[in-house]
Amino acid sequence: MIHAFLFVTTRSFRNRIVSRLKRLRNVRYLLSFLVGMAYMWFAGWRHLFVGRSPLRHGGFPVSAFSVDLAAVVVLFMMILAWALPKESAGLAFSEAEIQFLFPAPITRRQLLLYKILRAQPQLFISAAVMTLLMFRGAKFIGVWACFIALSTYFTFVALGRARLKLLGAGFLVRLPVIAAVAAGVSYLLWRIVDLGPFRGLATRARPGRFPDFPALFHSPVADAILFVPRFFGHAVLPASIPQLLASCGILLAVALLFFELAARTNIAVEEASVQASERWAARRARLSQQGVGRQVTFRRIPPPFRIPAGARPEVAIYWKNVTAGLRISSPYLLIMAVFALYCLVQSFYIPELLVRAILAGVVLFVAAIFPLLGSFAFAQDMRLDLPRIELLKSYPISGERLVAAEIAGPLTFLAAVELMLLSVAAIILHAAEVPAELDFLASPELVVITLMLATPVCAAQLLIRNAVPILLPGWAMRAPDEQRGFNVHAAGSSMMAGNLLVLLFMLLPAACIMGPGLLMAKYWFHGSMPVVALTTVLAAALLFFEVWLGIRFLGRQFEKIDVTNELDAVAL
Amino acid sequence: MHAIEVVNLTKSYGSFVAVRDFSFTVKPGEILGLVGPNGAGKTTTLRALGGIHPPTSGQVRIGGYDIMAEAVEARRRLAFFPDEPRLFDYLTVEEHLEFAAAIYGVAEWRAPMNALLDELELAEKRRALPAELSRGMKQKLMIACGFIHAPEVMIFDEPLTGLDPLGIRRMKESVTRRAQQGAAVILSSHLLHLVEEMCDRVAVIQKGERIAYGTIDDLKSLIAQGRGDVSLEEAFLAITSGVPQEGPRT
Repeated sequence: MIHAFLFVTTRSFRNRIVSRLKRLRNVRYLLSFLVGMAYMWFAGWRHLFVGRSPLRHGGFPVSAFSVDLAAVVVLFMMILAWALPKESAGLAFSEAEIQFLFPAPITRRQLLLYKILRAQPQLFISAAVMTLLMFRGAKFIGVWACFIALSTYFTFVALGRARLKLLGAGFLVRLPVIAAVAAGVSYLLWRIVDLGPFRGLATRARPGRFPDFPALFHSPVADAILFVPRFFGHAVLPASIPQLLASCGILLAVALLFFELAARTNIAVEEASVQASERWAARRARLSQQGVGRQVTFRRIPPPFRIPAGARPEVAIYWKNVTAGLRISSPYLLIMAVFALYCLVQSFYIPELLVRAILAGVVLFVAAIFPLLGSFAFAQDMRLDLPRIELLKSYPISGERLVAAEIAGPLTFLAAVELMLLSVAAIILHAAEVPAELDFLASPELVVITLMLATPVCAAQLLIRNAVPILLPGWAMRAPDEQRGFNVHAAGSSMMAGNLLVLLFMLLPAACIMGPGLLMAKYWFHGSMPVVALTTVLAAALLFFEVWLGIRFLGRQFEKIDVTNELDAVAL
Repeated sequence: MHAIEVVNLTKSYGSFVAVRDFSFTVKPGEILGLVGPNGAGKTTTLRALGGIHPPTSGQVRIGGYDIMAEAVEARRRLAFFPDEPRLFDYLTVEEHLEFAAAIYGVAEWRAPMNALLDELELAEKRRALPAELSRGMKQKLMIACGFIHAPEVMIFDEPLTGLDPLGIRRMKESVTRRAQQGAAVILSSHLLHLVEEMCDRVAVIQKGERIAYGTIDDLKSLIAQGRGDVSLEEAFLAITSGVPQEGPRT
């Protein structure tokens, strides 16, 4: 039986990798992959290959302190897992797994073994990504061993909670007990923690490198409490290879122990698993098509306007997306409006002018990052419509017009919020005492510039976000059984880096006009407002021109998308 | 003039040829059945007809317009019905129809909408979101959206999936009535009794190639050999297992 389990696990993993690699035969995907790899290299991978100590580059220090800290974190994760309310013993299986495995002649123990084996590829990738991006001082094999031990432990705890429920110890009984245990352990550790060597550490530390932190605990009680959790710390941050191997061996033994305990709980997992799997499948389906800015929140908000009789298809697409925006992203609109209003009202009640300036600074900061982050919240465009691409392609509208209309909906919201934030910042700054070196922030010139550039910058950002589903639809859509974890976050961070890079390139021509233009306005025209406005208009027009070119390009690419080739294998 | 004209349609994916040199025509008022085993190239053909993906070579004309060169004009005349209803999660039933009407430039859409809602038994659900609809109702809504602009050409990919027996009957009546009113219909289905009942002509496709094409009687006559009680299913099985030759062309 284990042969069959290993076959499914390894073949699924291999086939997934092969299908990803095959997609790279397409030049668009290959280029994007190379850009992503370049980002990952600069983000951290180079430290693994150029032989420099990761400790000098932000990795976790290999010290007794780190090991103790990791051990304490693991200990509390292990304790608090018992306090979770879920007690149905349901393990998440895919629909195929339920159809094949549940009627098959296999025991619960084997089912559990399958579940643990099946999780290994995801744990493997997550461990690799975590090692590369987060725990650069760590050893991959140690991180993987930790993941294996923890995932097995959590499976055991899930079944253990169900067993306790059967024994009459439900959530309400468990919660106070676990809270008491956690509080007791916290108290004990607090009593014996040794913070003496830390005093004055900051002055002793040499700049540019981590100080050698000492261990947190030097007591037999702590050694007993943290005996097992410390192996997690030693595995992730080993001082030597023998220590790494020993810790990994012990963690695998711990995993085996928890597997054995989980199997001995002999809880009926089948029915609860079917329910859990259905919930999981529904959630996955929702997440694959929805996500931030995609879930219908206010179902009954009426459309903002009626489509005029005889309107062009673009108007209908815009109407659809604005309606979607209201029904999906109203909470974000509300949050931003309340935030802006609060800052505005608060600024009139704060007598200190400097504090007002700080408040305005906060609003300006939010305004500065809003085009980037807001484009995730207002995603009612091609990103939302990608699963319906078959339908979109059958509409009597050119790709260029379709892309423009798709972007126009979220742009309305994004630009409105951005203009609101900038206006509020300008009003607060006007009534504030701004330090001389930040005086330009309160100048009317800056207000004019930011207000005029806000909309084209938002449009550029939305264009970039919409380029992903059009140019790389196979990556933009998640397969129903797509794995999740740190690998997904790594892909997301590469995407974000690419986004910023493209935005920078798009803003460059406008900056080339703005820079000299503003200098001319300042030195030759004594800061003349009309000259500043003219320069800004030119820069904004250039940015809009770039957006238009981008829309034309994306429109042509949209018409070339081959649904069968690029999307059927993913989700359609 | 033919409502649908397909000449030497070929669609390849790398070295794999999904559809090869497929040609046929459909006149206004005619229903053509497209049948074939799984993976024969039916959906690929329908998607090429709907302008959803470009053919590798060959030509598709809808109402006289080339689906690639004059895509907007061609698409204005057709309605494509995929096998899986993919609706907008945030629009109600009524709003879906309003949206579809606007996309296809239907100025007077309220009366047709109400008629369609009644015809497809969706009137009570007019303010419901797709999440509140059953699979069959979603399918009906999808079909209603396609009907709203009274298309000259209708392309159905497994149109009856998820419908109950009454829904199937209503759907057959709706499609047949629209064909009688002049619409050209292509219907792909594995339900051969449905094809036999509704279609005027049938194209059988296998491994991307047309292996038979003609009226139902033409196809039956290929294997009848004097028997008068041959069903389309028997004819299909015989044809796809390689017994008969290419059917008569009309």
